[in-house]
Amino acid sequence: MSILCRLAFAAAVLAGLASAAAAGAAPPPRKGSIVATEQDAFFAVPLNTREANPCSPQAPDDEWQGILIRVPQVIALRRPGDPVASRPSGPICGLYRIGLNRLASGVPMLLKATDRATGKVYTGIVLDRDRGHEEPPPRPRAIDPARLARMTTSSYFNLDLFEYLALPLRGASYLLHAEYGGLTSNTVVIELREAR
Amino acid sequence: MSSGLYFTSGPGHVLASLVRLESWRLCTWFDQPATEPRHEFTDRDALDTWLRQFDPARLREVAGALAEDFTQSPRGEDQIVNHLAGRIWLGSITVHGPQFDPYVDELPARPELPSDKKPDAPRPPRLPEDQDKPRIVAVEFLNGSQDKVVASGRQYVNLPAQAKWIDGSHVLNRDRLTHKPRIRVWFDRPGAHGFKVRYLPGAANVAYSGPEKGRNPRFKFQDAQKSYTTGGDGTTILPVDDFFIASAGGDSYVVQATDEQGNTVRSGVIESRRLVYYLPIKMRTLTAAATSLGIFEAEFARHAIDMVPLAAVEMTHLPNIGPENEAALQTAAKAAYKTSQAPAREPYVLAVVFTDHLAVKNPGQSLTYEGITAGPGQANEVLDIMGPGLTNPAVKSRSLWINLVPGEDWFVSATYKPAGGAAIALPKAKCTPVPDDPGTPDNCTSVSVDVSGLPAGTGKITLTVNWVDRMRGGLAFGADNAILICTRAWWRTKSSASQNQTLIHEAGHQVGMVSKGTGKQPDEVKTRYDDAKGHVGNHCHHGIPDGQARYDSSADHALSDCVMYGSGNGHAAFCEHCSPAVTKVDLSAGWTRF
Repeated sequence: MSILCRLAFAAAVLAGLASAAAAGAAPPPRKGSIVATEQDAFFAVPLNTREANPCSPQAPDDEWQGILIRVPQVIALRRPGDPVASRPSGPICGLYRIGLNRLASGVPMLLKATDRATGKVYTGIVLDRDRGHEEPPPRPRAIDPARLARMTTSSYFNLDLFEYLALPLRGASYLLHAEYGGLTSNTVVIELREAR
Repeated sequence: MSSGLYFTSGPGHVLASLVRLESWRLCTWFDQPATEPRHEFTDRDALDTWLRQFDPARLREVAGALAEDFTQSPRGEDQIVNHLAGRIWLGSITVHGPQFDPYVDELPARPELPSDKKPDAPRPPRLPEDQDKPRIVAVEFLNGSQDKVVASGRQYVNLPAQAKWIDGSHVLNRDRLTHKPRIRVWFDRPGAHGFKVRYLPGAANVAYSGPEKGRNPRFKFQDAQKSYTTGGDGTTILPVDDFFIASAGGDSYVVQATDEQGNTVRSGVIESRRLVYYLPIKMRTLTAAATSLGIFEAEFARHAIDMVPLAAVEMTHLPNIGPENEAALQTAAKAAYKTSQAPAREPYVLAVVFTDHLAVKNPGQSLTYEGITAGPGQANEVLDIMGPGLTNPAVKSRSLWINLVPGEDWFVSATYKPAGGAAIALPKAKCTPVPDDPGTPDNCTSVSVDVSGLPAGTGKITLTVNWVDRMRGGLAFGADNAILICTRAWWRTKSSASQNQTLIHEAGHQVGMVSKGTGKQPDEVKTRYDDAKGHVGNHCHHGIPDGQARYDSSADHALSDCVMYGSGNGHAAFCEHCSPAVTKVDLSAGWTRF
């Protein structure tokens, strides 16, 4: 693992622990600037993937259940050299561990962003879009609720928030959290900053 | 009683002693003698059944007489029946009988034409000079030159008037291209003679709504009557932009012209069609690609879209196509495409890429199972692989990622954590996938874990695995001209029929289904649903009750009965709501290369 990755990983662990402690509440924005290395690490994460990376939050302990998310503090809406109309990428690195019976209702994960200036709430459904023609399995097995009750599912996720949230592409600051299986994640602050 | 099918238009075609069942004949609708009984069908299935009682070879002969290009390409019995039934249904042919024995007795002579019928000759004979008034004698669709006319033909309304589209089988000359067929009028003598012209659309032509016509001018035909004067030779070819037909397929049109003395003549019939080429691209060593795409071709032919195959080409074999390697697939498919006949047929060509699996992996999914009893003598624990999906949030059984891509395994890690103790790693050798069906040993939705070597007690097992999130039967590359058809799904070879169904679905997307009623599309299909209700893109929930929040449950799948439903359902036909839209679509823009 490179030094840069190790630094990013350490920061990610600390942020994940801090986020877990504050889960369910909206913590005040952190003072100061996020270190450039961590900021860069977020933008190196392959989005729309499901594997752990140095920016992923870590579960506090083996018994923990919930959702954790981490984001870069700032997303530049336009970088030098970018075409004007290009959409920025907004990485969200997350982890959930949830009892399967909580997901049996089939409600997908939601992302919610609240504009700190206006209070306007943006909600997005976290489901992949596949334009393919689905081929159902030959004999899908019935689900036994009793089995679900003793199972927990866990997954990392790396999302592009702009894929799911129709945030205006202008400077603004948002409080962001995820909801899934009746649980609510920690709340993080993310700023969209217009390039000067 | 003599029996036979009799076709009065065209080259005096008589088919004698064809059948023994009834004395019925087919003729173009304007040749129907008023005194003869007419057989009308109110049910398309009944019409098909009626036609099938006749000898297929003879039906082919009749079909060939109706459309000169019909016998020049391979046609199955179903296609012939479908063609004839379509013509009858659209009103360009009527079925007469049973009292037409006199006609048969007159064989081989052709019966007298109706008094106002035009002559068949390219240039009609003129009446004697002593007749005092000029008389219109013919109006015809031209057929390759200004002296050749068509008694009945197919007009490929989506193709432009370029020589490259004259293929010698479907399109024999430039006049059968575009939605603006050339029309010529003849009088019986030289001179400048006035006349009026109008289209007579077939009674069963598809009806476009006002909004449709407002969105797309190609949804209109020239329904106004126009006046002209012949040139000095007593003939004229009408300005080509003045008379146009709609973009729909299967419509029939006759031109009617009336001179200043009230003499009226009518042309032969043209039937509007659309023509699309398709290029099969098969991965090398693929053994399961459908050998016949007849079901696909027939379903589109039923909607007057002729899907014409080009010579197949091969490409590199890729074991699986998921989102992460679609780019690699495109690169390999493009290389094969460039060597084929397809570029010359752009923009009216679709590339149909036959692939192996189209599976999507959900990697690194962890499942923890509580209440595991371990220790010497304990039986294996069989653990179900279940979880939510990436595109569908429902919790379902998930198949392990086995033998789909060389070098990619289902197993990531496994641990056993006794109550109050530290986690113990379980090697892969202790975890055995369990097939759901012995016939497909790679399709496993549970894992048998050997716990006999663990310390006695209770605890929990955590399995981290790669599983199959979903498999796709097919895929259309957006607005571009490529379609992927998988030949294996869930570790089984897909039947030829199933591949045809998927191809109909994906090609349906390419022609604009399921219409949303925007842009240049036909009006919105009543049973359309989109991403917000379960499957990405525009699909049809015909067969499933209206008003549901989603349409992608197992129960929905079982009820769906349209080929445009969002997942493979065994149906190969467009439903009653989608079918008119397929008939109406405007294919003049074609597709861009993928």
